[in-house]
Amino acid sequence: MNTTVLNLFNNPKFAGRISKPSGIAENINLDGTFHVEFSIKVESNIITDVKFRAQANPYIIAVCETIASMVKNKMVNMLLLDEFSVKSALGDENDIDINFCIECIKMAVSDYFEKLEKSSKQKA
Amino acid sequence: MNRIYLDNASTTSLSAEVLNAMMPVLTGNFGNASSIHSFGRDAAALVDASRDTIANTINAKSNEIYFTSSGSEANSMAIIGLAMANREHGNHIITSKIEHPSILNACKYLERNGYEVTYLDVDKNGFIRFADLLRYLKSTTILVSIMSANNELGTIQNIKAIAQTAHEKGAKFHTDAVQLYGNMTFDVADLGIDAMTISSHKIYGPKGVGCLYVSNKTKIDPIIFGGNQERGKRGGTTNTAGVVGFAKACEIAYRDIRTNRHKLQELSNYFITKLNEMVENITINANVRQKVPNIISVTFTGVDGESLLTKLDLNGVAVSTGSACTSNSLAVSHVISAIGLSNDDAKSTIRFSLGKNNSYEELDEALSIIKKSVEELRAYSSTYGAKTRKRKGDK
Repeated sequence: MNTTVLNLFNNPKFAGRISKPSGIAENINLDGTFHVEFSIKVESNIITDVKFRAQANPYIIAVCETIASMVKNKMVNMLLLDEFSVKSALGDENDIDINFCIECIKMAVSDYFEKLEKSSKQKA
Repeated sequence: MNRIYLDNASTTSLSAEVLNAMMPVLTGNFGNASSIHSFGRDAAALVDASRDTIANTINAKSNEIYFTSSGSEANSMAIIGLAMANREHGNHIITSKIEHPSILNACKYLERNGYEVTYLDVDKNGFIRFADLLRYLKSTTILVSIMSANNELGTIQNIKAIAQTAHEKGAKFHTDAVQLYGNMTFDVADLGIDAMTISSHKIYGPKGVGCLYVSNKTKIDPIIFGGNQERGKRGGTTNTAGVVGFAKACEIAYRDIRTNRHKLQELSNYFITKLNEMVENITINANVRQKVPNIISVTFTGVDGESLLTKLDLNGVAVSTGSACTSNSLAVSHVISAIGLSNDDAKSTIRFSLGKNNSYEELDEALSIIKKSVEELRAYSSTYGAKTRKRKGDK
């Protein structure tokens, strides 16, 4: 683990859960060893807040921190996230699968859109 | 930041007394113990005296002690060397699922080479079941190898009874005593041990040296070939300074055994009591009387062990995970799995191993850091709340 990973792990700024999230999702990795959850707050199509919770090793927690910082203040329908960009931001050549974390934030966004659609239909 | 070392089952610090014993050898006696000139004879005399010292601590004869480079090498030599030398009597070996990798991997090597190995299950505290041992012993069993005390749980096996049972079926008995030597007095003759592994760096001696006791009635083949060192059973130039330090460490361990055991028991009791008071939803694994006092295995519900280890390390407390996780391997410990913990609990398990140099003040400081770290990790654990609710519901 490099210093970036250790610092992100030891001082997570995005750890926790948003109380009334616009979207929320949880996911586990393929062998069921790690569990993560992302919650987002969306205002005017912008992700204004993002939080994560995890039971995972330091690397995955650093990955969640990185993802959170990469999506905050971005347009909710314009998320450009992949394994390479996250790992590059961390600067750590770790072969641990992180796709379940990326999927999780995307699932939280999907949850937001589903809720949005539901509420539009109700209004209509 | 104070650094607190609670990983003494991995290795211990070099004792000042041991270093003092080694210094003259490191600085003056550089001779090769196999050389016939005076430099060599001086070194050989030191090695012989060291062999006598170690043999005396376990009631063995000097020529039953073979120096090796480590406990792992001694374990490999015991398994492979005994299996090879006793092949004419059979090809079956019995060991347990919670042995050190140096035993398990040596057994796997033998399996690939025509031997049959039975791996005994253990109960929730890490004890083998005698019924299993009796069931699997057969006429072709040449060796039973069961560790004296487990390195992750601390559980002490009833080695005298295991040895006796093995002998009744004509098998030899080896024990990996790396974690128990220094905690308990050994009389290899009384216990019926045919071969036993000891490591120097677990008892405040130098790294890079260990030994295998092999009774004179037991045949063993070498696994490292070279000259006639160690009476032809282990090639390679003798590590004279290491051997001298090892012998000194054995002498001190034997001399101070009661004091150290008492101190470690008191420290351990204190640590467990305080930890239970300060941190909720924990389980002390293998919390039995028949264990080495310094090894404490704890499962912290809802906390990833590797994350806790890292957080403790960043705050100055050195421990090990019960699981053998590395940053690249997600495998859980074979020991923790063998006692029946779920994958989740196995991944939430930490091993604290206390040492004779630890103080109550250090434990207090470590306990505060543990409490804070566990609370921090649980505060954003995505599973902790669900798990504790489920457990309360289960009751």
